[in-house]
Amino acid sequence: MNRYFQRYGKAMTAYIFLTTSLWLLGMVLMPQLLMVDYSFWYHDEGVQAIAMKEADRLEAQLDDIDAAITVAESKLDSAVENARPVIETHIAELEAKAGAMEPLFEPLDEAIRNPPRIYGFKNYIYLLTNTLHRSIFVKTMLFSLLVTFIAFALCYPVAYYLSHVAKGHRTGIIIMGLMVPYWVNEILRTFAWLMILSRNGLANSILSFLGLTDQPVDFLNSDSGVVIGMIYCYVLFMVFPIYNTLETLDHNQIEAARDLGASWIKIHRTIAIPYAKPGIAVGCIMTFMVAVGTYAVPSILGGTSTLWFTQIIYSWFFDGGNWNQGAAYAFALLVLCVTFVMFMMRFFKVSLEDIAR
Amino acid sequence: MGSDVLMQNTTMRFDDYVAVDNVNLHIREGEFFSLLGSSGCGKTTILRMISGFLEPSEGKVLIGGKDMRGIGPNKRPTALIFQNLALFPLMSVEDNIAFGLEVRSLSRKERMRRVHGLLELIALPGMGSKKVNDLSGGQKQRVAIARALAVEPKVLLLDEPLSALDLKLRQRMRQELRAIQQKTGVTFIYITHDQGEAMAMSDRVGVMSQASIEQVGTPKDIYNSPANPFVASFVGTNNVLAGRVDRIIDGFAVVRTRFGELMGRSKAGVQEGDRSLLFIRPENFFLAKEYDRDKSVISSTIYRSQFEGAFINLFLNNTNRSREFMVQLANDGLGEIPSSGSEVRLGFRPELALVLPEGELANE
Amino acid sequence: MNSQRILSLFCSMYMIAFMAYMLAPLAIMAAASFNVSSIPTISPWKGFTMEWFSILFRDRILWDATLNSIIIAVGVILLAVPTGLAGALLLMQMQSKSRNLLYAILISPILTPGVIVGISTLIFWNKLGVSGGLFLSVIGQTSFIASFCMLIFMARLQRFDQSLEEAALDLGASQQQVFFKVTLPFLRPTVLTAIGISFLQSFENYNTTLFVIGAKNTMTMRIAGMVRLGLTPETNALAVIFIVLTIAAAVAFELKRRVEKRREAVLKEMKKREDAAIPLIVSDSFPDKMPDMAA
Repeated sequence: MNRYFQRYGKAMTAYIFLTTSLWLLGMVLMPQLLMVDYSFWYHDEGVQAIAMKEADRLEAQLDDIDAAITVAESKLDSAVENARPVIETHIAELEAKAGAMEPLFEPLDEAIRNPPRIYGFKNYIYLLTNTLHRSIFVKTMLFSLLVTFIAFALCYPVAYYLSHVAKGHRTGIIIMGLMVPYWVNEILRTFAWLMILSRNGLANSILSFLGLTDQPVDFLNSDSGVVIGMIYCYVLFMVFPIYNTLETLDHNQIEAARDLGASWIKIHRTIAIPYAKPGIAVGCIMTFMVAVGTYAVPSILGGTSTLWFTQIIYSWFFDGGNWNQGAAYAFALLVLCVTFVMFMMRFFKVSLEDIAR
Repeated sequence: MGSDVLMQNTTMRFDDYVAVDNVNLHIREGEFFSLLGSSGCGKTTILRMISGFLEPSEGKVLIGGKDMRGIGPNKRPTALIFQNLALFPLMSVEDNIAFGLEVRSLSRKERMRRVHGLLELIALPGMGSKKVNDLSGGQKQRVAIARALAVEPKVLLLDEPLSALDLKLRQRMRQELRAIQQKTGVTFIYITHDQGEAMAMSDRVGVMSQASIEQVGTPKDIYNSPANPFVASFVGTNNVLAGRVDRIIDGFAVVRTRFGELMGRSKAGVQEGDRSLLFIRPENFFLAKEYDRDKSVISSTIYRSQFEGAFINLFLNNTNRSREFMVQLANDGLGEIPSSGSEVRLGFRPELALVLPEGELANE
Repeated sequence: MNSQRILSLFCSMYMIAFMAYMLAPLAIMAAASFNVSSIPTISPWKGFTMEWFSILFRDRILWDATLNSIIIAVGVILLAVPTGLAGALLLMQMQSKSRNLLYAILISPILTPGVIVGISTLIFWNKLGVSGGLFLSVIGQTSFIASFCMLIFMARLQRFDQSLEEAALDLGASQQQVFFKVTLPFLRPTVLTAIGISFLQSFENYNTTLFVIGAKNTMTMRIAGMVRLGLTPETNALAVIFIVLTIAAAVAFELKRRVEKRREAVLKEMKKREDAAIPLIVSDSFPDKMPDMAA
């Protein structure tokens, strides 16, 4: 603390600590913890159901009383003068009875609107036992891994070419060319593929022109469309991290290896790829993360039969109205991501600092 | 207010590591004082304590008689020239020099007047509007000096500012620094590991070993009468012979060494019968013609001879592998040059040899 | 060296194919905006038209949504840039083990899928009685965009020579003055970068915003709606605008980089020559008196 005073003075130190703690607590830790908290409880539906039943019963009684009052009131108009007080008393009695029932509704309403919370694993057990959701979770994970792997296979040669083969201005121009799709809106990038993959889009035209298919392929209602779109959208999350690390590799090392007669496979396996490890790790982590967490691509390119896990989470929040269930699903997704990040860091022996370049 | 610097029993600890151990030092007003020591000996720590970036763990630092505890670097009458100069790269030369004046809210006119004076002083007139990054190494050096002088410090602290320059420029800057110091009369405390620099510029030099000061004195004192084996072996080149003191006669000690009995000036603390060290510098030898065994002649086999033009360096057979025994003879152009493998007899004047009680030597 | 040549030919072909893969979809999308056809396509080319652009410019819903996007982006910049800076300054001065933990927590929003950031923000603020809308979008986006800003500032601060701050302090500046006169000017280009990145990230964000936008609309949300519901070449016209802007920015970026590179080379050459040419300041060439320095 003293160090901060000495370096930044009192006002700046206050700004640094206050702002960072607001961010840390108010925007990162507490929201996340509350989400986890949500995922571990659910409303007691049993109590809710009983309360509803009870409320219905009271409601019915109240209706009866109301009906009786209406009958009595109609009698009142036609009644003779001296019968009136009797009827009026009767009405007053009924009204008093109805009034007395009013407070009984309050706790019931409360129990219906806000049933007691029960902590437990129910939300997670639901995810595990619902075969559809479970298979979508597994599918999301596997397809994201696939996307990550294909992206790596596509990008490594590009990153290597940019950092060690292309010269001077050409590198600049290619990077410029890659920046364009990188910064164009994700939705629009996906939309471009919607056009290409649609029933009478470019892909089908080419396929039928080549005589490979006699009927249009329905990319858009199959997972292949989602995967193709995703690779295109997220491939550049892989290129730039690998390029950034490979660029710092001294080209003389490669020259020396070549001079000593190493084959190009060997050069990559023993020099370039080991050197690029931090970049590869970052690329894989970023690509996997955006793939597993995307909502845009599957919602645009996929159909109802190709749901992505994020879409189920979304529907828990905005269609199903069960936030607790949604929170549990979100947390499961987060755990998957954290596991992947940890695995990659272990596997490539990189630290968090490397990840942040 | 005076501008002398006084360190009283000053100690600096970083966790368990003692960087400066109980140092007492008085640097007089207006002198050019150098702290000489190898890297990691604690000299930069002393500088940072004087400038206020570090507070001593124990003891005091006084400037002009005033205790500096609790006074930050921005409130002390000192200015520091950093090893890397630390010029502000985004400002022009002018703005750099005027920085200290600007934060003191001097008027623009006054600032410019002083900046022009300082630019004259460092012989870079008209360079004020240049960007710092457009300057050469030597020019940057001067701007750093001007920037520090602009705030009229009582004490100017210099942390090896010449180390980044090439040899030729470094030698020229020595002269210039000394000249600036004499013109301004500011107390200079100069930190260096370069003996030549310390000797050439300073009024007095403090020699540091690990965390403490071994000797303070004029360059001549330090070189000619080192106070202990560390200083004797650290400053300049010195040959050292270990042995036992046989006898002491009229301030001269006779020491039994592996070259036989040799004589040198005896310093305080040397006792008959004690183990001691005899130091004799390479340049104090001459070729001995006499055949008698003298207390100031050694004979040995040369194992390597090196011709250097003005000098001839002879390396004698040595049992101690870590320290070479070197003799430097002037080349008079006439005499024969002793070759490797030949036997040679070398004499020295006992007044030029020094006998000190056994103690720690500096690492080569 | 024949195999070498085959290899390099293969390399070039691969690169051409990859660039085509990256750029062709954008080109197709752009071309379709000029087709008369009322669904976005290029294969039956029915003639050239600018009609879709004029429809686009008259689309009130879209431009209102764009205004919302801009409002959110400005809010995000105002929050995320100072927050990221504070985080970077805090972390740079920490040394202990707790630094690693704090660092991990502060960059975790980047490594968390955007939907989860949105969900946690929604739940937390709902509890405080705030429901989805522009404000919540700003908050949700800031929580991870601030992490990006922090990383950008940290990268720059790592190259900051701390002795500059010490020099300023030593020359008598207060800590505040040091920050505003030395540290902040050093960070200025980085502040601009952080603002740019924050704007782009915020403007194009979909996954987080989806959960916290409530009943409002942003440009990206609106485009998603247009793509999913009423598919017309209006979307393509919008894509053309996006692509043109991006290309312009990329070209400007590349040109700036080239100019800087050239300038650096020239400077290096100049400096080499100068040391030999400085006049001496030994005693006799000195001015007789020190310049009058009395305050």
